[in-house]
Amino acid sequence: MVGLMSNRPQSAKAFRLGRLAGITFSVLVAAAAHAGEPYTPDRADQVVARLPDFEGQGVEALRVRYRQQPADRETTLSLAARYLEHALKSGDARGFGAAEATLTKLLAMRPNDAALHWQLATALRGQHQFGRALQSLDTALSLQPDNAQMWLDRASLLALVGDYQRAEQSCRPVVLNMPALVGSTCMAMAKAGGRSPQSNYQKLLHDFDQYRQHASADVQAWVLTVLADLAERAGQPERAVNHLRSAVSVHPEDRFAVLALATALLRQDRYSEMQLLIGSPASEQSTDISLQIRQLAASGRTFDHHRLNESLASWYQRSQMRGPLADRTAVEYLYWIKGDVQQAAVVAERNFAKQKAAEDVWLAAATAHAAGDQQRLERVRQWMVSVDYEDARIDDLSNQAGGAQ
Amino acid sequence: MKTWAFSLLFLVGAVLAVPATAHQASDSYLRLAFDDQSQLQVRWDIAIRDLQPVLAFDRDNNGLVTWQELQEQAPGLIEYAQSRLGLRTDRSCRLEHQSLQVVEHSDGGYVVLNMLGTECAASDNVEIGYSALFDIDTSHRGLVEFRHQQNQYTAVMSPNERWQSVGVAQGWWASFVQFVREGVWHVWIGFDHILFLLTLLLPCLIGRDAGVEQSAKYAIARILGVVTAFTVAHSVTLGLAVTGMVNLPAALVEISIALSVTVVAINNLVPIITKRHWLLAGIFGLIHGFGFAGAMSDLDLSGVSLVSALAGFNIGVELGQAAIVLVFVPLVWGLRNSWFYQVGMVRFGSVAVALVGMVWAVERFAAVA
Repeated sequence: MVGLMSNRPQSAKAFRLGRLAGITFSVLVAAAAHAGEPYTPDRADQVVARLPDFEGQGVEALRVRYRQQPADRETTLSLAARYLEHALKSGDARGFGAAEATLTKLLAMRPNDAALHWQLATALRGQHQFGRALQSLDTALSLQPDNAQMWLDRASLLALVGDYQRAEQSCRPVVLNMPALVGSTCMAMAKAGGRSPQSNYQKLLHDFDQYRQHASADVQAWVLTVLADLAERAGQPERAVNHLRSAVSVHPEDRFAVLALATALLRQDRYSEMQLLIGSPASEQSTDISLQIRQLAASGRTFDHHRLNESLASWYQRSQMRGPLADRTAVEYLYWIKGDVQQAAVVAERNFAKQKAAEDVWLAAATAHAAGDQQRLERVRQWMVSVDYEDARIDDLSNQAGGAQ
Repeated sequence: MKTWAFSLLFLVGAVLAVPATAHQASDSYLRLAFDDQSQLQVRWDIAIRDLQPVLAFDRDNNGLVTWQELQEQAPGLIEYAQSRLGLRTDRSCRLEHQSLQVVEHSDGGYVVLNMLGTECAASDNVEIGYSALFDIDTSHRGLVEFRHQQNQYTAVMSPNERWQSVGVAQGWWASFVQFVREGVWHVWIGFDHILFLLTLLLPCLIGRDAGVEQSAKYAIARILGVVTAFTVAHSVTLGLAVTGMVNLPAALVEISIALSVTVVAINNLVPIITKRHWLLAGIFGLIHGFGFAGAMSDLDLSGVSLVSALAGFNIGVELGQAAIVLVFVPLVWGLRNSWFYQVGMVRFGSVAVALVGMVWAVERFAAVA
């Protein structure tokens, strides 16, 4: 029987003080709720932690050397490079922070070392500190202006933040001094604003066909992912999938290509192909959040994901508390897993304000559209017009929204 | 130099392909709470993998850390923890190691350091000095939770914020905003407050009273009178009660609030006070103020915390009720001359409200009887 009761507390004591904390500080509660209870292992040989693979690959020896000789440049650069490589390969952010910490100490002693500044830029970029990363790159380039790889890195960073004009300027030394395919791909990224995706795609595809035999597997995979982005923006999703399949095929360890392919398949609701590619939550024990999100999205409702859902919810709360380090991933979580389109649109716009890769622009528009938020969608459109950026998918969304009105 | 430079081309390529990626970040969890003996209980969960560069647990280099390997490094671990964490209330706390455990978080195994903070008095805020792992990972963060008197306070320790105070004195503005929100919420979940206010407003809105036309200006003035009197009255008693100057038994307050709902409803049916509804709002507003105060009595606030909490909560209450009035009045404004409003809403509605108030009063009485 439903009683006729006020839901007001029955006494002063009953005031929900816990909620005071709950509103603002639910973050930690959620994180703590996910964790198990502390325990004391019964056996001495019980495994209590697994270290990342790279720990067993000589990195400890490098650390020992680094601790003994913190001013040794080669040791510092090697250790930082190991951290960066691990972070980029696995998506483990700890590597970026570790690289920054390693480099910063030596930079205090060697402020005019271009290589240190360059690696620091990569570490900062990985932590989404794009402004600081650009500063480090500029410092590095002022010390070593003829380093074409640095210019390539600078161009990609500027393209990422949507500064296409300066990105194009940075590509010029790349075009002049690096293999033709690298220069061509640099320009294709920089021309994301100003050149139609279709003509950009055709040009890069032509160059790729012409020069691919001279390119290493990792460079081929990179070019193929850029081609896939352009194909998506030109409204050719099937071509995008094919390019990404080729990228995974030429460089199977390229985690970025694998994730991009999974994303492209997800956009077309090709869940079984996704599962073949990335496995299911039941088969994989990954701690890679991007992978987990895609696995969960791929398996839909066919599997009890309670534990993974809890784990992702905990990660999301934690990431929001730490700050917008992984906003794109947070958008993916909100949009694909939680179905919270309103919040996804908010976070997507915040992410879009910082970075403007094709996927960021698309997510900002798609979530705004899904949330029925025309103002947010319009802001994306205005930016596109201001930098002459085209995306057929977003045009479709705007047309749908216009049609609905 | 060439070697690493060219290896970076791979890195650059990878970054170019997908610039944003999902990350497992390095976090530790530091939980603080005073126990019944006013001693500071400290639980600190740190990822074992994060400590590996500092303490090199994995002696056999097989990528696995066993309980034995962890225990072998326990002295170093405890020393490290004690050197990287400082806690202070009235004076610095001495951190005594209690026990070592492990726990599984979503991203792997964590060591749990249970410690006791001694030589410092219990307080409603704790100053934290935190420098663990920052020198080996700038992205590391310490997520702090301080539980105190049924409240939770948190802070995020970072390389740029190695010293922070967490607790009631966590900054008056944060506290103020929190209490504004609480005030709004308290009104919105308090059906008795809402019902009391709306029941009082019902007759103020009637367009024709005993055959006399009431202007819109007059109706709005009456509404403002009721809202203002209610606000002033409950602000007074809220302040008196929270500062401890006047205390009434909570049960008595709750029952009185329920009865106040019934009284104003009956006054709509058999008017004793016909014009001065603000008087009713003022008198019973005093009682409702004690009800609001009950919500804050357990917080044991003082000084700046008290002022910001009180001001914030009060403003929150006002905002909450203003929102209700601003929704309700426009909704019924067009109906105020109709039979539906004057008979259906005012009279039948008041009968229903009077009954609800009586049921609440009985329920609350039964709860303490």
